[in-house]
Amino acid sequence: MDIWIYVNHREDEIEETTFSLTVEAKRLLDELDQTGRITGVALGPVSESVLETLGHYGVERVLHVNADGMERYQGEVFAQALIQVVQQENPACLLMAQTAETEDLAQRVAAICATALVTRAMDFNLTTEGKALAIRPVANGYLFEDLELDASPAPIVLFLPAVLLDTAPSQETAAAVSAVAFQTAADDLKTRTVEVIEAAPEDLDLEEADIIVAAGRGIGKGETFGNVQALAKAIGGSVGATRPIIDWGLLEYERQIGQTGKYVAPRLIINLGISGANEYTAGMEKAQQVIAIDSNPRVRMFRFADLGVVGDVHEILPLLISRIEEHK
Amino acid sequence: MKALLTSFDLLVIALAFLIMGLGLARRWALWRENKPAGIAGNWQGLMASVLAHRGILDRPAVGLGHLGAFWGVVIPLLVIIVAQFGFIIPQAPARLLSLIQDLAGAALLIGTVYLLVRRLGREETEGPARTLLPIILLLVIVISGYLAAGARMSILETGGFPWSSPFGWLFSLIAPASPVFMQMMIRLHFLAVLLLIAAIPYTFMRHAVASPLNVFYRKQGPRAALTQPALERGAVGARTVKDLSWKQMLDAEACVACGRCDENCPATISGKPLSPRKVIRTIREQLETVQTQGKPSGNGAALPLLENDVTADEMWACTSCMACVEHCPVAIEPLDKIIDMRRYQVMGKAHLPSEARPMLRDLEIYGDVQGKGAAYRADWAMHRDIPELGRSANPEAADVDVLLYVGCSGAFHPRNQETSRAMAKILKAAGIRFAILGSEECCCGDPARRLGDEALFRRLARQNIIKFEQHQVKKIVTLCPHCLNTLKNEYPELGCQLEVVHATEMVTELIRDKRITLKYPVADKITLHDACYLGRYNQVYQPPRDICRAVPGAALEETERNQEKGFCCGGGGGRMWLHENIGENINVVRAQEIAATEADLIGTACPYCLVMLDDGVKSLEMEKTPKVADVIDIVADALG
Repeated sequence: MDIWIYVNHREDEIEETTFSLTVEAKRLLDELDQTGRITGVALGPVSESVLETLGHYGVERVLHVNADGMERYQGEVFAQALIQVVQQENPACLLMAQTAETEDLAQRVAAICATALVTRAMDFNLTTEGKALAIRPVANGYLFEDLELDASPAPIVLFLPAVLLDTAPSQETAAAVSAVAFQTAADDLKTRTVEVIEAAPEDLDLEEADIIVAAGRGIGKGETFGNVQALAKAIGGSVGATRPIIDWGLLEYERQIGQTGKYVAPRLIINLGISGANEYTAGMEKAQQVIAIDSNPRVRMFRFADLGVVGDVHEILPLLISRIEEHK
Repeated sequence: MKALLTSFDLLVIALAFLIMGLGLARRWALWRENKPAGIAGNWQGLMASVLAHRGILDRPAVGLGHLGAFWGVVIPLLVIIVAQFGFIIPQAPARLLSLIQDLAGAALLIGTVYLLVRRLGREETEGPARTLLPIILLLVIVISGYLAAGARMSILETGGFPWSSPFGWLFSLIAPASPVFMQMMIRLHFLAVLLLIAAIPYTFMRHAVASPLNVFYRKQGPRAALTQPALERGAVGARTVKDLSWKQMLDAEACVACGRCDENCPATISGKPLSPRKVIRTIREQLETVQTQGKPSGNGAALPLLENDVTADEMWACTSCMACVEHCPVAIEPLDKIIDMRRYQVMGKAHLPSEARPMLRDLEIYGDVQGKGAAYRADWAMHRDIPELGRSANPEAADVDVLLYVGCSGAFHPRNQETSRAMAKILKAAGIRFAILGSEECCCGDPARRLGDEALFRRLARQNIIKFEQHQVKKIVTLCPHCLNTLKNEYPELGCQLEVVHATEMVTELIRDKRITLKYPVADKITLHDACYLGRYNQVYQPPRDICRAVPGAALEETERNQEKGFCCGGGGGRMWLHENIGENINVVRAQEIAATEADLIGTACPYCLVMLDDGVKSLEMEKTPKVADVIDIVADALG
């Protein structure tokens, strides 16, 4: 059995979600108790040495298609390339992490190959009876849908990034990378890239962070800010801030949380010296656990806090950091 | 002196006027072709502006200088023209006329010298080179005129001090008693006048024609309303000068770069790259480029783009506070051009500062700037027995005097929700039958419109208008001046003509009619911040002041810049949702000024101002931070 995963890469680096897909692929192999292998399929420019690292996550081989006209994602070209390798090799299924790009790609491939496609999947299983089952949320996540798919030809499954698990390299072996020849039919394209307009540099880190340490005006312009970063480092969080901190130039704009900054939904957010104006809280309302530290017991921030600490953040921070370091 | 014009002189005069006429015709071919026929001009405004220098005199020194120069040219010109017709008048009126003539010349001399000194003494980047030539010409004219008159007096040896021409007499002291000299001066005078006339279209003096014309054709109707681009015909704002209306082009022609817009622009003052004067100058320069390239109806692709010379940082720095429009003495409006440029960026190119995108997306999806959704819109009113139109089964309950249009801030922002409740409390105390639209209300569209997303504005506006019609709303009171402005001044163009008042106007009336009484003191010293959209946009200056004066035991202390000169909080024009990373923060600049009044309570009448100023005073880190409150909150507190 050959489980395929689609390699998401950007600027010659493989994105985390791709490694997470290997977890799903391994699970499928384990559950079926079958011998099989995981194949990565990469489209577009990415260096061989980078693709080889997929081997550390249990990927046996990587099929790499790159040709002129594939420098940048182009739905028609990428779909042609993917269809070609899929039809040559006939895998058991093709797993992808859901992105705007894979969503577009998967729909094209599924339509042309006439295979089953599940987008926004939360779970996917192959049964020993040769069935394929999937679960996905509907109605804004209030309901879930069980799906049964034709297992052949190979179904395409797009996992929601949120359900994918983190993983770490497990072995030293390199994946065998083989370049697949592919000729783009550039003349037949229905769409053509006319101009590429670069988006503003968006640092997505804050939106993806599990833990955020957020600093506000109460931190002040002084040295305390180093402590904020030290705390974030100690607990493995990202640093965010309210507008004054950004205005003071202590952090770049990508780090601002709130109405004119990022809307974040971390598992934990620690608010330091933040009074909790609506402009800020609008950006962090979806956080699961909220801790607030501020010297004024009446600030609005405490209304959002699961744990509120009234005290001088300048005194608390060094103590907190040293305690965390002790526990390590 | 006999009026003697040789046929050669007539030829030269004709030539001068021909050159002027051709120049003007050529310049105005630029915009005139787009000018709709039969638009009414404003004679009254024109007379006030030209004859009495209304607006120009707002700055007394330079205004008087200009007034002197203006009448110093006009009176002698009229007298000379009249003098060409041979007739005899009695001596007394002739002397009086001579005196007026003489004094007018003095006014011109003093005015011009003042303007020249002022120009030279100032380290201005704009103007000097352009304005120097006409000023020197004027000086030559007036001095040669006086020297000729002085020479004549020396020749005639009238002796003694003549009351009919005191200044001419002064010049007679230095002018030689030589007929040749007198003739030379007369010739010089004559030529300089003709040169000035011929030079009008080609120099700075163009303003003598363009500026009055601009005042004459000044925007009719509510000046705060933005014009509607013809979206149906594919108009997406201003890409090049060709996309501007004829009046917008005339605006650019009429500008003398006096800089009063810059002096009052919060963006310029706080160190942003935006300069309204530069925007207008850019448009004029690009118009000139278009002219040198050929006819304006030529190939549009070759035209210079506005965004080449007005950068994103400039056009997005505008808070739409309208100070530039307010302070322009000749009715130029830099604001609508900036909005038209934004429109092209947003609708033509989908270029919008990234931080504003979530807000516009929320408006598209949820119909409010906070992204909460219509279902939660009346949450602030929950359990407060506030009637909602459309919700009540009882048709009598729907028969109300006034609709309280809450607005997104009042409905969702925690601070402004308090104001909404305060307003409900006041209306109830006064026994006003009112209702809200509840979940049927959506954003008035102002933030989208000011950011250039006209299509979204129209969608939201139509949604509201349908609801107003459905519930047969006759009168609306708004809490937010931005809602007031769109509903009152901009919805009529979309076919919704309603009586719309601001909460402060209504509450002032209630206080005046003794329907509510303010009993309790709330602060010792209150200061007021004028919201641009209430004040400059809708001329509501007095009601918030009347309210503050009605609060027992409170003294009202004005800030340095107030009313028409009021300084923006920095939150208008969509700036509430944009980063401010260049120069000082406008809200902090304003907060400093307000803090100087040492008031313990800052009253405002706009939800944006409230949030911006609250943040502003907090950032000053004063020992005792003054409280910022909506005047409606103040009234509700004083009701007890």
